[in-house]
Amino acid sequence: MPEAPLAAAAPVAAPPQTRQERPSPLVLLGLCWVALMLLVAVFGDFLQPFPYTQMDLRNRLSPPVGFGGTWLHPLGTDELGRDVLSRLIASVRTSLVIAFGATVVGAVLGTTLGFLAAHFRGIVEQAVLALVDFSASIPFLILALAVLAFFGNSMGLFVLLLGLHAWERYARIARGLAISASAQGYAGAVRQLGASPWRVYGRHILPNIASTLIVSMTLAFPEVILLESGLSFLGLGVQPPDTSLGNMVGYGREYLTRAPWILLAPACVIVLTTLSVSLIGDWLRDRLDPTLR
Amino acid sequence: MTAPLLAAEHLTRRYTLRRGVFGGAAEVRAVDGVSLAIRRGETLGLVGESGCGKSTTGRLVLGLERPDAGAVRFDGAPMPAPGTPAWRKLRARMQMVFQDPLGALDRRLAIGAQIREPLEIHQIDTARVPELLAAVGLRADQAARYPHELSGGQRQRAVIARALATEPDLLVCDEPISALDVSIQAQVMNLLAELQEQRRLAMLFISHDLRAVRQLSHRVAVMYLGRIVEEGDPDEVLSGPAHPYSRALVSAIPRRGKPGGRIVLEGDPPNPADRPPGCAFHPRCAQAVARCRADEPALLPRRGDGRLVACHVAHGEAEKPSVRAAA
Amino acid sequence: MLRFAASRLARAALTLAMVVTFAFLVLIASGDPADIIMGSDAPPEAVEAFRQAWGLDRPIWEQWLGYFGAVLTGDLGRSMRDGRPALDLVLERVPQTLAITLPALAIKLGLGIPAGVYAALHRNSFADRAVMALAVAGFTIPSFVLGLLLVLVFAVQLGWLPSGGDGTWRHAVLPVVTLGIGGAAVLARFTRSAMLEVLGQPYIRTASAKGVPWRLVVSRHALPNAAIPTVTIVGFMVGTLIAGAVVVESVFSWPGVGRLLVTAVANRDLAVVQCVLLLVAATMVMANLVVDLLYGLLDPRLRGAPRGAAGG
Repeated sequence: MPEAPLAAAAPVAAPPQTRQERPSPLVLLGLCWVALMLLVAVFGDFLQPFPYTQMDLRNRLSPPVGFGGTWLHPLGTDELGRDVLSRLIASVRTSLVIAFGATVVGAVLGTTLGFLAAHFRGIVEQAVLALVDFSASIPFLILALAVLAFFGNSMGLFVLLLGLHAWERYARIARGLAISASAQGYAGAVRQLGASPWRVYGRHILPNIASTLIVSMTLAFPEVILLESGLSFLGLGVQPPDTSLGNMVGYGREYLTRAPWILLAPACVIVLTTLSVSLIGDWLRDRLDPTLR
Repeated sequence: MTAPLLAAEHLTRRYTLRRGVFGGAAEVRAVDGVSLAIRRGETLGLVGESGCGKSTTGRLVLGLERPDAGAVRFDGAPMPAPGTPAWRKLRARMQMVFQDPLGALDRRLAIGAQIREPLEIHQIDTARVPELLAAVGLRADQAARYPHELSGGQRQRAVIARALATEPDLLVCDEPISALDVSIQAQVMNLLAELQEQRRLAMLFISHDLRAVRQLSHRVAVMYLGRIVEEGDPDEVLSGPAHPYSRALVSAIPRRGKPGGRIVLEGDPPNPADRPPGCAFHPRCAQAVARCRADEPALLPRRGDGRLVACHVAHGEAEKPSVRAAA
Repeated sequence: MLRFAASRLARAALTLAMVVTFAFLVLIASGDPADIIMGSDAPPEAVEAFRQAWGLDRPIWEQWLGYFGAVLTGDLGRSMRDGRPALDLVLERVPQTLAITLPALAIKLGLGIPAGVYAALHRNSFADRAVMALAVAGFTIPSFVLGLLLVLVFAVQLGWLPSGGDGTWRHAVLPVVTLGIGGAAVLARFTRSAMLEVLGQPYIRTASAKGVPWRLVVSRHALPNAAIPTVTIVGFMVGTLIAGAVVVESVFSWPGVGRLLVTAVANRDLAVVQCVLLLVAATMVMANLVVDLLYGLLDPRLRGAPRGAAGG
């Protein structure tokens, strides 16, 4: 007995599709900057005028173009004659790679733990919640410093460590949404159909929480950049000969008076990148998930 | 007499509530010693007010939860533990229709994909989707629609189609029409009646709506605070309820013509964490006698017509029946 | 209320226990604790004595208990550099750190909260946008960049203030300002959100519709309710006082706990690192506990909430 077709019946819940809204000019600028940074990170090798460790001793501490320098080194050189622009490009790549890696690590770890807590409940959940409490009880910078002190500083460990800084946010989101999906919701219904847990989490819960997770990741990304550059600035993060944005600021500090451009260039890049990603993250959040404040 | 398709014996399900950090534990018996049997092609209606344990009973029957006491047997074999591969395999033979169709559907997938899903899970031919859509009265082109693009009635049809995909022997419907507009309720009920007849489905139809239950059920059971207090033929129970609680429920059905005759229960709705001693209904019962406060009545056939009822007064076992006019 | 306080206290104690356990595990995992704590310069007899005293030849859980005991009595090992007890080294630097973080906290609260409240009350006005823009700048500019910029302008170019070290009150100005501005920005943004959320509540409209003057609506209804989430973040800031100081102290060569930590990490002076870790965690847990208890006082809804839930 077919029902009379109700064309475009009033939707009961807000559709998952997003409203079409033009992003504000600031957000657009942010998107451009991020795109530029991504290009630099990917094609860095081709864009560097010089290898970033190459020294040009005759042109030590030469200022950037416009302040007395030449186009040979458009952003100037440092105390060893290394081209600042080239170092900047290499640093952007290092910092972005670390930030991406860390964000992904954190998201994967956090989401997995959140799902485990939601699925098994009981003691597993209590353990995860205890870990969350523990995370909240030590400022991450201190924790990172302690781990670096005890375990040293290889790149892999560093990325992993940075990844841990926001894991509990993803865990909370994953656990909360998985639990609400389960009991009376679609996840419970699919489980009732006979689906294995893998199918329930992989095909149903994860796609539904993906947008919330992505917004969280975007909002956490600048924090990782700031953390990494802070640690590198202190000399405890990325070690030479690798170079990162924080690293450059740290080493440029000695020449603050004589050659401020050495640290100003990376400092600007840090600020602009963090700002851009934050703006994009806020915009994404407003579009996709206003419940996440 | 063939063995029933579904046999549940003395099902009990308890929850423990903790009151505060240092408070004691309160035990809530959501389901307390419920036994029921459903034969192939038979529909059992389960009625009662909110919180009486009907939904929990439905979940226990499907094996979604393990009972704390008692056992469920499906087609002669014990119900496997929830989540195990055996249990998952058994889902092809028993399915559930939910109260909230929007919540039961994944909002990111088109309903066609969701109807196809049980076929994929149990590795049955997925070409049956159009046939299923037609069986519930949806058009083939609606398979590409998302749940929020459909009306409440259409969504519930999709849920039903999904539940029928694997041709289950047993369907548990937990308040399937409560969330729908009244005008749509009748359509969905008619659909269920049609499907029941065409496919010889066994059903456990859970509702607080007596009329809906009457339309579909071959037998009806009335639940109160986790126990079945009366069971029998729907028409007989509705025209002549034996248990005081059933009488109150029946009298609440709006009827044309004769006004009045409505039994209003006194006292507060029961707190499951604080069961009254003896018969759980006695604080609100107009006919309660001393024995009702002391002994819990068992569900036994009544002298005369054999109606199953759990009431001392109905069995005539009260010494001094006090008849307070209730009509 | 007592029940509430007791449960929160228990939770705080449990968290602290976890932190100590974590420190213990890290210690065990990174090598021989005796060598680490005593330092590689210590004479072998001392190391051996330490091992005995700590029972490092005993099963792990006994060691854990021993470690717990040591922490509770304040015996956290000796610094590698000068052999002095780590706890003493750390504690003597605490006043220095407080000398810049407490005034900074005052700035954060005194600047951030009013700015956020003002922005919320004058939503979408120029002032609101300005505050928000400054707030965003405040938390996207890392503290070391901000600090170095301030040095560049005020110390190098203008020569008004010294660029580092300690000694006079002038030396403290730039570190305090650096710390304060970043925090003020975060707090302004947060307070604004909290106020906006409260102002959007129906009871505010009701109060205003009843004829209560707006000033009173704000001071009697909006502010106290917005105070509740703000208390959380202030608590968080208090708990992270030291963490925030780490970078700034390094920028300005200010001899506080943060600087000590950085040097210790660089030198792998693990006793000191461990000591700072435990101190910071204890501060944080205490701050969270106070916030929780304040919550209980401020928000009557929380006090009666039963803990633990029924299944299903």
